[in-house]
Amino acid sequence: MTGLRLSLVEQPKFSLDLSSILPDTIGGKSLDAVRRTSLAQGRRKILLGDLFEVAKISEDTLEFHGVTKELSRIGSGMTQGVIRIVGNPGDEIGAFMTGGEIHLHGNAGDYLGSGMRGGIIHVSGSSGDFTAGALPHTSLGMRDGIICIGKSVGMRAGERMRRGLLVANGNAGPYCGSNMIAGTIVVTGCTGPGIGFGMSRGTILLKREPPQMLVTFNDCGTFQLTFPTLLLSQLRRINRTAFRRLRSIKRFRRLTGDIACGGQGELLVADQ
Amino acid sequence: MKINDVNIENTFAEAFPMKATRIIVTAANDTWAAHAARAMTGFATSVIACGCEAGIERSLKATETPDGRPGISVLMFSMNTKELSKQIQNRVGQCVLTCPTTACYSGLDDGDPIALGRNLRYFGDGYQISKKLGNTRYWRVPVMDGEFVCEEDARVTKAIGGGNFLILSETQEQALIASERAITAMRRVRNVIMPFPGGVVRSGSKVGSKYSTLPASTNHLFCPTLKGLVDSKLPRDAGAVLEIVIDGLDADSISHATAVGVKAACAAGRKRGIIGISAGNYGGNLGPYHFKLREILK
Repeated sequence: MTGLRLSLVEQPKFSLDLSSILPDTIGGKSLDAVRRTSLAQGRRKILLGDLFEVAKISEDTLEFHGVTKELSRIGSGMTQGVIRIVGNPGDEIGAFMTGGEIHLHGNAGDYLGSGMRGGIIHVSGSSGDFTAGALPHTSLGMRDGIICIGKSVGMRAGERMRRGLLVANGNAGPYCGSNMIAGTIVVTGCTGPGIGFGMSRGTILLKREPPQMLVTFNDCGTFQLTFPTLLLSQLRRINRTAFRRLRSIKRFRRLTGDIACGGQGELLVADQ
Repeated sequence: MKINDVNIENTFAEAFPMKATRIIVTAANDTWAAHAARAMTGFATSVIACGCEAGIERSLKATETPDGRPGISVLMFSMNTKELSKQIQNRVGQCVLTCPTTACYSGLDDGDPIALGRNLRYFGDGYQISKKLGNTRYWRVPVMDGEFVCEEDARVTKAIGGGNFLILSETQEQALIASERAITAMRRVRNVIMPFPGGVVRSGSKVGSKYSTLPASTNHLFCPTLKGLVDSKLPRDAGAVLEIVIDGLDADSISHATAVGVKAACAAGRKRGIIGISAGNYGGNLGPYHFKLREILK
């Protein structure tokens, strides 16, 4: 049993960790049992029912409504099921998740999908810094899965990303893909400075020319490559917006780098 | 049983288990996809001496392929997974990797994985790039026209080889026309290939030979020129026999292809020289799959 709607009725004063409320942890519980679930707020414990109105819904999803930035780590560590979030939650949404889907109707905080190993996150608005990046105490960012952002991502998106796909249908902040180890980032808007800084492998596909390129990237020329067509086919299924924005592009300029870190990463910049 | 006055013999085609895979070859346009697929399926008529039996299953529209480009679906059959794996490496490596603009993908979702790009990637000499999209890993190998993209693994599934039927006619020309009609109709059936040249074989074989070194030899009982010499299985007025061999991913597909092919071959009828339809079998000793003509055509 998932099929639950949690509507925030009492605004928490401090940041609240909701990583314990997952489709697989509350599945099968009665409404009363769900209300009695304790949540961590620093050293204190708060009952879920004190903050949320809990109701059953017919759809097989776990829904959070009226979410504010004090609510963090929603869907963190989830393995299955569907979570729908309406509002603008805090940090670490979907961090370390290994499966399932998160649909966020609003803007996400920092560290969205950090260390995630599977599943898919859709955000209709923007996301904060270190999207798909590595949390300070970890060595790797996103390790697998898909993150689709409807608008922009903050700085250092995909930092130390190891695998997976991050799509931003808006702008990307400074140092996008910094220290990237592998994986794929797609940005259909503008990018900030320092793109691909320290990347050793991986692909960053850009629709627009970056304002400034690092000197540690080599221009290999403009080509008609097969990989972008393969990626577009994937985008056609998972993110129609990005597909529509990129489908007319036939040729890409390929820049390899960062040669300070092995130089096997690539920037594919649309040739328009 | 008769179709258009053509006699359908009360016999069966005897087929045997094989291992098979489906490979999708894409390219910048249909022409180059076809070049690659034809090269890849060349010299792949019979496992007796070719290592595998392979053929073009059908052309794919751009919307049907993994990379949104036109493609060709190829089926490859062999007696065991090891040999099939070897044939895939050689044929994709020499015929698809070498062909301009092509890319290569697995056409099956289920089955045991065997290396496709997993070994071919080493052609990249360290410049190859791995990309994982969804649950599938691809390899991008730099080549002189850009890059060769290849899925890491193909999938092997159980399959059936050796489905067949024989077209008996008065003249060689009539047999050719009937078999061409049959092949045209059968090419619309999914999951099957007819691996011989043009889908048709004139040298139907029997197991063994009077020469001990040969595993197979001419099926003398169906050779019209030997009618006066051996205990022929051909009617008196038969002047030519052509065989259509069918390999398929499952028995239903082979049965369907057989039915479609026989009906098309019989369309001209007895008055245009088509005498009968038979099938090749070895008394049930060769394989466990028996495709009974009259049951299939009911």
